[in-house]
Amino acid sequence: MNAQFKKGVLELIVLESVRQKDMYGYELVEEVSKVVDVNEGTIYPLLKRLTNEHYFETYLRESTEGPPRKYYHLTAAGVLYRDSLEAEWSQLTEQVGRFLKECRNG
Amino acid sequence: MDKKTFIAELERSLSVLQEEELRDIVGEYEQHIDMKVQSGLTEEEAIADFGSVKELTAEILEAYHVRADFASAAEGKAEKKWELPFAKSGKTKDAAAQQTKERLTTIKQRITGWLKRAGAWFLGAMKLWDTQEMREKILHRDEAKHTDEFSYEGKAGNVARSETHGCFTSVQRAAEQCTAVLMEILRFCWRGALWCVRIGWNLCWIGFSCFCGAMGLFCLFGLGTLVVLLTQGYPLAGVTIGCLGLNLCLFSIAGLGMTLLWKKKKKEIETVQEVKADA
Repeated sequence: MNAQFKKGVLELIVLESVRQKDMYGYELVEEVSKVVDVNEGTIYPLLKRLTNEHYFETYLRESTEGPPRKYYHLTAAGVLYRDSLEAEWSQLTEQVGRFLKECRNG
Repeated sequence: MDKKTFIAELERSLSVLQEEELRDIVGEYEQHIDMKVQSGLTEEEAIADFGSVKELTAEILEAYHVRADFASAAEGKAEKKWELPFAKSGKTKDAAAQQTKERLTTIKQRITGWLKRAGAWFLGAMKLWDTQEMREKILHRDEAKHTDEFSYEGKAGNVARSETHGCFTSVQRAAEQCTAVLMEILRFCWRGALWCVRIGWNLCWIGFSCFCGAMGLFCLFGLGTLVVLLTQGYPLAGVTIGCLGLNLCLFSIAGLGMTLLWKKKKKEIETVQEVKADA
């Protein structure tokens, strides 16, 4: 898949995944990888940025295996941001879809 | 590339970040590699999934709003010029505080300007008042001097006459005194005439303004009746407006006369005082 496409949509996928349930980094990478084929390294900077912008909160939780894990939780601002992103996404896909259809027909 | 070298390289290229942030992000990658290893991959395979370290660090720095080229230029010990969103928000807060401060200072300046202006005006008014008073005082003093001079001259004449006993000088003195007395009488007459003329003029003004006032009142009465008639349907609109104009005119003339008189009153009193002093 086009890297530029992925980059834009990745944010929405990550936000939506964390909205479903709080996740830690590795878990989230696996979850996102199921949807889009993505370089695993790029998820962490994204998480960092979204945390810095207060869309995510983080907390540490002990795990049975290994060190404590940092969990990500979606904040109210994050929910709003996710909704706006989703609206933008659906509008974009709709417009692009309509355009492609018109081109095909015309 | 094994985990150790990967982490070392990551730390080196992210050295522009704050220590805490660096620990945090490197810790995430470490954990990720550990988990990959747990799931059965080798360290090399896990790290290979990250792609090139350069791209990765560029992306990480982008998340902190730090330019990648800046990071590479400032490798090793560099100034920590990273910008976090909360740092940004702090900045905006600072900016907002500054703005409010500036606004406050401008308001303060404006108020002080007003106060200064008011103070200057007040001082100016005081000065004017002072100078007026001073002028009056000077006038009074001058008058007093004049009277003093007169009395002094008289005395001097007496002394001179009693001392010299010369015929010529005595005649001269007598003539001088006669002319002085005549002059005094003439001056008194002139003053009296002037006073009479002034009084007459003032009386004329009083009469005229009183007449105008009376006429104005009469016109007002007429205007009232005309308005009543107008409301009853008589076609008297033009006459009513004319009456209103006349009314205003008469009242304004009366007001003018009265104010002129009022202003003249002061002068009159002064002249009366002068006349008295001269007498």
